[in-house]
Amino acid sequence: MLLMVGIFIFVGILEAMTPHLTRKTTVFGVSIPEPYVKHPQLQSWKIRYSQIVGGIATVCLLGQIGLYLSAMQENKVALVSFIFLYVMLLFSSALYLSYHVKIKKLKDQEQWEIQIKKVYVTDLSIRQKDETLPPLFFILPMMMTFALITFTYMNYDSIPDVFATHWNSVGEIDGWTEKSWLSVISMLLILLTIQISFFIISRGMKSAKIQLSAQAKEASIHRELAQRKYGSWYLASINFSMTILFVVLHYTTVILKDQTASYFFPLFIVFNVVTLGGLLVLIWKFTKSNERFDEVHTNESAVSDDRYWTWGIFYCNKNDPSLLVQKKFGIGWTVNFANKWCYIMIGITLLPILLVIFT
Amino acid sequence: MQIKLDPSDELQLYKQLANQLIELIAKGELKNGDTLPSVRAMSTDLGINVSTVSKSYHELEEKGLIELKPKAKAIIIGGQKRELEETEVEKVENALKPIMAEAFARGLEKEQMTNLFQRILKQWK
Repeated sequence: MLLMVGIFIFVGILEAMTPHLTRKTTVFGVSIPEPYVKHPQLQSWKIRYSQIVGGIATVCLLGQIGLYLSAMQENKVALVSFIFLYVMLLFSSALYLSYHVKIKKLKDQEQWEIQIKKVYVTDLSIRQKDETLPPLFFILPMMMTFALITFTYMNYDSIPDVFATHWNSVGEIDGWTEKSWLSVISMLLILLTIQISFFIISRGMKSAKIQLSAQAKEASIHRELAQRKYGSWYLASINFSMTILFVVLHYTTVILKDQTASYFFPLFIVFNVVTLGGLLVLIWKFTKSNERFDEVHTNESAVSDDRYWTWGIFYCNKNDPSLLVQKKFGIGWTVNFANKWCYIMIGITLLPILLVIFT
Repeated sequence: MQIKLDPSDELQLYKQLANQLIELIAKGELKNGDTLPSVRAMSTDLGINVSTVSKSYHELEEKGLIELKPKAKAIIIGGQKRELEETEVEKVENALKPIMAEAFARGLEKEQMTNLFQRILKQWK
């Protein structure tokens, strides 16, 4: 129960905060020319969104608590809470789209694009100051996986004919698998595909566009460098903690033949703490590094890339050679659909899911 | 070391980029041996076409200011003090002559022109 309530609070706050996390020059997925960043309408729409989404989240949360107090069956409660969660996400997406359209209209009506002077800006030294982690950090976990695959095959004969592969939320086994050359390393293969996709993401982050603004130049340099650095640290820490989780699970169950080690559950909790806690730290860092646009002197603005975006969500730009691009709504990266590598990456990311379904 | 290109300017983007890089070399902000961002990185960050940046870099290479190396590296080779060859001096003179002639013809005093020269040269030390 606590877990579910926790998820509701977490998702609710995250959804309500989202419009305030992006850079100031993109509001609800629309590029705002720098001289208009302080337009009062934008701020009031952002606050309105937070209020509505926050309200819906509170109602869902109260409903959720009400469910636990009622005499409903446990499996029905689980179903209804998922419906609550989906309603919340659906509502905030619909609200996002409506504000996206509204801002586009406002931008056209007041002719923002026409009244500004567009410039292309960059800084020559920015790439040298970039602190995204080197590839080694993402290759090391893969080497650990390879080592363990080799070790598993070296000990193949001593592996029992049937071993545990699935645990429920309290750490009891509820899934067994028969031994074969493929099944003994299936968990490691899943790990490996995740590691490979993380490696590609980390490379993509490194070559992704560093978007500077024409007016708040120093502030935008600071923001971009901080976001890239902490973004890659977060990626690496998830990668490492996941590797440790999988490696320990595999080693204990397959090699040590201990199916219910007492440290499984705490380990899983630690993994979740790293993932969610890391996300909170990341959001805090992102908010702190966001530029403020206190002084806007001229009508100059960095050229917007709006025409390459659909609904502010999907990015497709043939002129941009990079694989990833910073999202226009919320934090994180999204793929450039004009880059053929993105399909390979999506494929790799879906592979573990397919593997789980069809084996 | 900011680069700022203006698409509404009559000067083409590749030319603007080349000019700004040359000026940074003249000012000493870009020194001999410094590496420029790769063509790819530069075009991504600026948001302009790869071929535009490539054209700029090639122009700088022709002028002998940068050296393009494999792995998309561009290294500054201009900016150091050295004896210019006779033909190079001649090239500069030929390029400068029509501009000065035009200014003179439009009524700029010789003294004004010298002052202008001094002022521009001071920016580069």
